[in-house]
Amino acid sequence: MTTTLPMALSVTGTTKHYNSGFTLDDITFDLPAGYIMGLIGPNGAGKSTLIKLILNMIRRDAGRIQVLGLDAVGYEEAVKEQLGVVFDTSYFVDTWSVNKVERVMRGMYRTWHADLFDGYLRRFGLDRGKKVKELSRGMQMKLMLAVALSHDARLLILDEPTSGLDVLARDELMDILAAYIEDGERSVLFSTHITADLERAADFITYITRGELYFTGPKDEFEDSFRIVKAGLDLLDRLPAKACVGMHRYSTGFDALVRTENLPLWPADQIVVEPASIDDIIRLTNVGRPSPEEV
Amino acid sequence: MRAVLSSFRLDMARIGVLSGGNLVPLLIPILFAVIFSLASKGSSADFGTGGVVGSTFGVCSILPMTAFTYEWQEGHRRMNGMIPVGRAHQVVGRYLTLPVFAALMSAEIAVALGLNVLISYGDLSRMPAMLSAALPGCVWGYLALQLVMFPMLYRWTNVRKATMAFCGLFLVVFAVLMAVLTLVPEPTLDMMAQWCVDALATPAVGVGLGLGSLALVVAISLPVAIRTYRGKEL
Repeated sequence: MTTTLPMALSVTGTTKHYNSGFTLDDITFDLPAGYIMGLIGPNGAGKSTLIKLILNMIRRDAGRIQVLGLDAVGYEEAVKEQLGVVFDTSYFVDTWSVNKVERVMRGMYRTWHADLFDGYLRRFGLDRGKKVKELSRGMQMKLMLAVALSHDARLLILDEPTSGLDVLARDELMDILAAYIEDGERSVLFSTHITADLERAADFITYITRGELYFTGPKDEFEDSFRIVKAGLDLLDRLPAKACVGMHRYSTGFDALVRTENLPLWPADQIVVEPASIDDIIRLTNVGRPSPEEV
Repeated sequence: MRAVLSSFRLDMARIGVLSGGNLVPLLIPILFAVIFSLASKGSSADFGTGGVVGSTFGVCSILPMTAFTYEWQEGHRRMNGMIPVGRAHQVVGRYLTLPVFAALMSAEIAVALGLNVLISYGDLSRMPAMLSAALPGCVWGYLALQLVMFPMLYRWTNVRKATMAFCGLFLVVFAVLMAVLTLVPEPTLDMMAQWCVDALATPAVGVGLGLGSLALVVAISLPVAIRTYRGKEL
């Protein structure tokens, strides 16, 4: 992805090896300032690993990460001063009250907008006297979000923030994120496996599967790059190797994920072509193409 | 400096020693002071001082470890990764809690001993002598213990492993002491012991040795803790 826009986040050649054998390998992408990027992939793909690398919570084995123009390791404190982070579960001490959370967190940042925080508490219906452990999962997420939005953060990083939330809460979160980037200088990176959230809010997609970068770029380009081809089983052994990326076979036929530029390889009179959703792309890039012997 | 103070405030908030239920353990030495003094009243035995100092030492020893136990919880550990405080500053901030807890322990010993003396003897005239005998060594021992434990608690995210390592260290010290006691002739040992007693009884020497030895332990403990924590993955 080439662009002259200032970058909120720039990840270059980042690699992380685990002793278990999993490797997040050579990840490169940029998030321009003023946009929302969805970080997607199946469970275990490496999304949370990548977020931990950006936050310097784990060591990278290779590559470079710059946040708002600063090296994420060399300028860690300056970087995190401008980051707002929301995880899938609360990172506060369970016995802290909402009030105490504010007292603790406002001491962490040079800039703290008490009026903003108070406004978010009222908007989210968070009772200051309640302890974190007494809040529902959705409310805990909202508390993290209120903190993240109250200290002039220029980049929000959200790791699976909507998992466990109902559709109303997810919609509300997407609205907040859309409003957050309106000034054109603030950006959002959020990882999710609920692709409906991306359809609504994301401008860019970075798709990781099995530790490798599969795609990074505009969301529309991601969806336009693929088509779903539906056909009968008799077509399978007549297709060239690169005809499809992945396939799901049924007793009566198959669905194949095909790159748009490879559509001419298919006999147009024997197939049905449909647009590919993000879910389709993720699903079918994580299954292989069956060999002719398996047909 | 700002980052270090942020980390210090965060750890104090984690430990929450002055909040609600966390005050309860601090009342235990006070209770023991009353019990021991009532028990030893009218008898020639005086186990109040040791009991009070020991119980206070024990309760306060656990306080700094509380910050570690919160971090070992999966969710809360991640907070260390998103706050604008680097790893080294997080460690220094945690070390700054030690003088605070040493002061808290000293205050509690003074209160508990005061109660003990008042109940046992009816007045506080013995207090200055008792405090000057009990406090310096107690504070030194407390700080030395924590300064040895902290790198181990950074190394092992499991209090059992850390305390087992600590016990192992004590066994090594014990073995060295036994070797010295066995191999060094008794008159020499007596002379060394008397020299130590005389030296420590001189305030300038005692305080100097105490502070100097603590500074040496900090000079070893802090860099080891920082290096260990920097290598950890959150």
